[in-house]
Amino acid sequence: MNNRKFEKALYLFDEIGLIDDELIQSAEHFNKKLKRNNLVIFQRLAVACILMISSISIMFFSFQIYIFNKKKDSENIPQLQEVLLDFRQSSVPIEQIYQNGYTIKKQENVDFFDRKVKFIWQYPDEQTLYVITFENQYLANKLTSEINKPKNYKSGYTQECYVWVSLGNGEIISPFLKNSQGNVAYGELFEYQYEVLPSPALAELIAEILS
Amino acid sequence: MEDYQIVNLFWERSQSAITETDKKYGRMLMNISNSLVSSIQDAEECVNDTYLSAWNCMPNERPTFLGAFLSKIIRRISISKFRSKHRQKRGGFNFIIEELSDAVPDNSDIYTDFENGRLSDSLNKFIYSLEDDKKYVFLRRYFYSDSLSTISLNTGYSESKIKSILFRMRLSLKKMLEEEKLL
Repeated sequence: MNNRKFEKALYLFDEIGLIDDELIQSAEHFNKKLKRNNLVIFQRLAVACILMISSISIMFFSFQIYIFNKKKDSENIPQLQEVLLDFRQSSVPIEQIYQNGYTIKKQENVDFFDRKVKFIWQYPDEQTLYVITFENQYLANKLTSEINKPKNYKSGYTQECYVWVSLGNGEIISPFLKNSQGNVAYGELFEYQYEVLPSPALAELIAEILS
Repeated sequence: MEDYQIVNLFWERSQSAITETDKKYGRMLMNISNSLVSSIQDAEECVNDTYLSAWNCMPNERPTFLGAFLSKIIRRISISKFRSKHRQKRGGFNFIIEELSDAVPDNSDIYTDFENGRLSDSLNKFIYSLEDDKKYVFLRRYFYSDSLSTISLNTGYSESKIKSILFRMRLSLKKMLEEEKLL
């Protein structure tokens, strides 16, 4: 790319900094707006479906929901914190464990800039960090996609240990925090209060890795 | 604390204005600056300079969206800081500049008046015309300088989808700039 084109691109980049405040603000709140629009569309669709179907279909649909919830209750889906606490109580000695696609290590410091996705946790009475480094891109993508599907947080959970995910480019997030610009740290770990709960699928993924 | 309350603190020249701003926007500003200067120490300096700039701007200014107001300031400060330290080097946010060069029209030997102010008006028009998700991706990448992985995480789109969305938008922007004879 020649210098003149670079200079023009640089000028364009500068000018983007002068756009309307409303546009900049809209990019901060995009996620919430998208979810609200989807909820409105879903609600209208649900009302239209209920009006169209017969009473026998409604009873059948309710029965299916009952069976689904009963099945869900009987499954032993571990919560992420329970997984990590169970792992601590297991007798697996991990100074360093290599598997196909990831490495598990106990570390004092972590490199946040090595372009590898890492799942990091710390127990409350320890300084040591426990780190799963994903060498396999498929697993790394699976982890980050599950972080995007949190459950709503209900009060009453005690915070057992801190959990972070390092994206490998300096950015650090937590599956216990909402996806927002203000919840992305750079180059260092941080304390937080619960805002969301990780999905059961995330807990299952970590449980499978640690098993 | 709401934005208008923090702005009132600035107008009242209360010291807690900076504390409250830092509490609400500190991490966001740090993140924006880090994306541009690639150095935690420089980013911290930029954040402090931003607070000083905000303190000097208010009263006089009374921004409705304090986050956007501060984002613009720190973006400008961070770009200046990076350029002053790395005059001849490529790095930092330069990979974003190289991406944006796709949007620069090919008529590079035509004289262009850089100071006529029409470009920012056209950019506003272009970005407002985008669908919500594309608008978000464009702004996160080219205003906030977010990485593709962060945008992917926030939108749920794959990185390859985001790359292709950005590429198509750059081509549309280039077409608009050519039609309006800008750049």
